Order: sequence, then structure tokens, then C-alpha cells
Amino acid sequence: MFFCQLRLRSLRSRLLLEISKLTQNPTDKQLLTVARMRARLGKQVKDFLKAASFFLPTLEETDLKAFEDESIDTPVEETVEPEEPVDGSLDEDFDYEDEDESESPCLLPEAVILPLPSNIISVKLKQSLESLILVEKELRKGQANDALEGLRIGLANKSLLLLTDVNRSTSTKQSTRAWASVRNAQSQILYHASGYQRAWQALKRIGTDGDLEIYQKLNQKDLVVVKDISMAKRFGQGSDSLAWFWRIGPSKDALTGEWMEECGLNFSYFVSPFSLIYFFSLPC
Amino acid sequence: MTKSCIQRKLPVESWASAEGLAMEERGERLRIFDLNHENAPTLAQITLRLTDTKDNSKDGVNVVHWISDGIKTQNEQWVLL
Repeated sequence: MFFCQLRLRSLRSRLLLEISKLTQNPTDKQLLTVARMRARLGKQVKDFLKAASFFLPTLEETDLKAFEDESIDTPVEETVEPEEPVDGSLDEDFDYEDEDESESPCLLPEAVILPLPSNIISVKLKQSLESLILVEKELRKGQANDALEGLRIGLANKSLLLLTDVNRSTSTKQSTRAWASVRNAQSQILYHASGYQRAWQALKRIGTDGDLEIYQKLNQKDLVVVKDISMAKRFGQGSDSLAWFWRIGPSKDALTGEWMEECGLNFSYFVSPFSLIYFFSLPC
Repeated sequence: MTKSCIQRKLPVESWASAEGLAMEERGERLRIFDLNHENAPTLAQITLRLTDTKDNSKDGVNVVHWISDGIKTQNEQWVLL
């Protein structure tokens, strides 16, 4: 089941890559896929807005504010170039010229600011939305946990692929396949990193200081592969430390106090990259 | 390591006896080697917990599902942006 989820995430990442490639030479099939996705999203947005009327008062356009656009990318030294070289920035290339002229960009379903409590900036309204904010805060924590789990799996997967498939490839065919897998893992990492950022931005608006101590800001330098897997026994290994999300869990006092006295090892929210090596070495 | 554990007044003796029993009797006794590991709750688990504990329905629409759907829609929006 887990592999099915992983495959689904991988397919979504691939779809994302397909969309970013669209401006080069989109095929009819690609355009159709995007059109279908957009139609489905339009319906989702419409249903959400319809249900919003049950919980929210009438909102003005100025009451809502989208999250700041904080794009995150793989560190330059670890970026794996796309298979087909892309001319220029994808973001710059992306425009709506080929789309229906009657459909202005502001009406596109992806451009609609959803009236989620975290998107509501009006101070007056916020006071009356306390219960909604509490629910969203909890759900955002779940979203952040899911994204961090995906991020850890993606990074461990990429590290292991570099160690095994890439290093051991002896022919061009094997090498091509190995690097394709690495690219796929990289897409997954970016997908989950972006998901975490959205959850973090929401928590920044509606969460407490305690929440932001656990769920910290994700930086580009955090998206590095686990070198203890890909480059074990390297020079300077002793002084290297893993990113904060590998060590998320109880405080040191909690670990050395009651936890150890229970005659067993307890780790809360703690995932070792090495525990994932065994997982990925299992046959599909 | 044992010395360091004893210095910190950790129950090394009971761990050692439990290990001895596990090696002799096997079966359920081997559970002492299991890692008592607690995963962070997922979005699905939290949604389920909130749905079970709170009744925030208005005209048949549950607030937990509504916000959860909003988060999912926001994720889908990002894919197309």
C-alpha cells in the first residue's frame, strides 16, 4: 500500500513536470490532461466556495490574502538537470497566450484565493472564527507531518539511489535509468517541500509560537541528500549534522529522563535515515 | 557503554535480565528489542480524530471536512500554478 502511495506521489510529480514543459511544444494529449485537471479543480473550488457560505460571513476581496510565494529548490550542487534541456526559466515561459482568450487568468481556478481561515487577514473577522482557526491549525499540523514524512522518504530514496543504482551502473542504459530515478526522487522532494511550506505559512498565521518551534522554516540547504548514506566514511563526517526535520521530537530532557527508565527505547516523531535503507532495499 | 549507563543510574540490571529471558524463551519476550516508536499524526488521522470528537456540522456540512477539502484543493491549485 505504501508503495502505491509513493507511486501516486511520483505520478503527481511527473504530472507537475509535464505541466512545466507545456510551453515548449505541448501535445494535444498534454493539453487535454491539463484541461481536465483544471476542470476538476474548478469544480472543487466551486464546491468549497459554496460550502464556505455555511461557516463564513460575507467576505470582501481585501479580507483575503494568499500566502507569499516562497519557492524552494534543490541546492545547486545537488540539482539533477532535466532530461531534455529547457531554454530559459520555466516560470518566464509560462503564459496563457494559447488558452481561451475569453478566460482571463484571474478566473482560473488555480488563481482563486480560497477563504480558508489562514487566508483571512481581517482582524474583526478572525475573532469570530476562533473555532475554525483551531480546526485548521490541527489539520495544518497533519499536512506538515505528511509533507515531512514524504520529504524524509524522498531524501533517503535519492541518497540510496546515488549510492546504489548510479554508482553501480556499468552501462549507458543502466546509468540513464538510474539518473531518471534520481530525477523522479528529486521531483518528489520538491513536491513535499512545497507542501510543507504551505502548511508552515498557514501555521505562521494561525499557529502559536510553540507550533513554530516544532515546525520550523524549510530552507534550501535542508534539501540535501543524507550523506551518511550516499558518502559514508567521508572526511568531516563527525562534524556534519542532519537537517532539523530528521531530529523532530521530544527535548533532550525527555529522552534522558522518564523515557529511558521505562526499560525500552522511545523515540517520538524521530526517524533515522538508516531505518529507511532497509525499507527501500525491500523488493517491490 | 554499560559503565556510562550505570553512572547515569539507568536500570541496566533489569535490561540485562530482560535480555537474558528474551534470548532463552524467545517469542513475546523478544518484544523488549522493539523500538517503541510513535509516528507524528498524519492529516488523515487528525481529520478522523476531529471528526469523531467534534460535531461542527452546519446544514449537513462538516467544518472539518470543509477545511480538509480546502487544504487538498489548495494543493491541487499549486500543481497547476
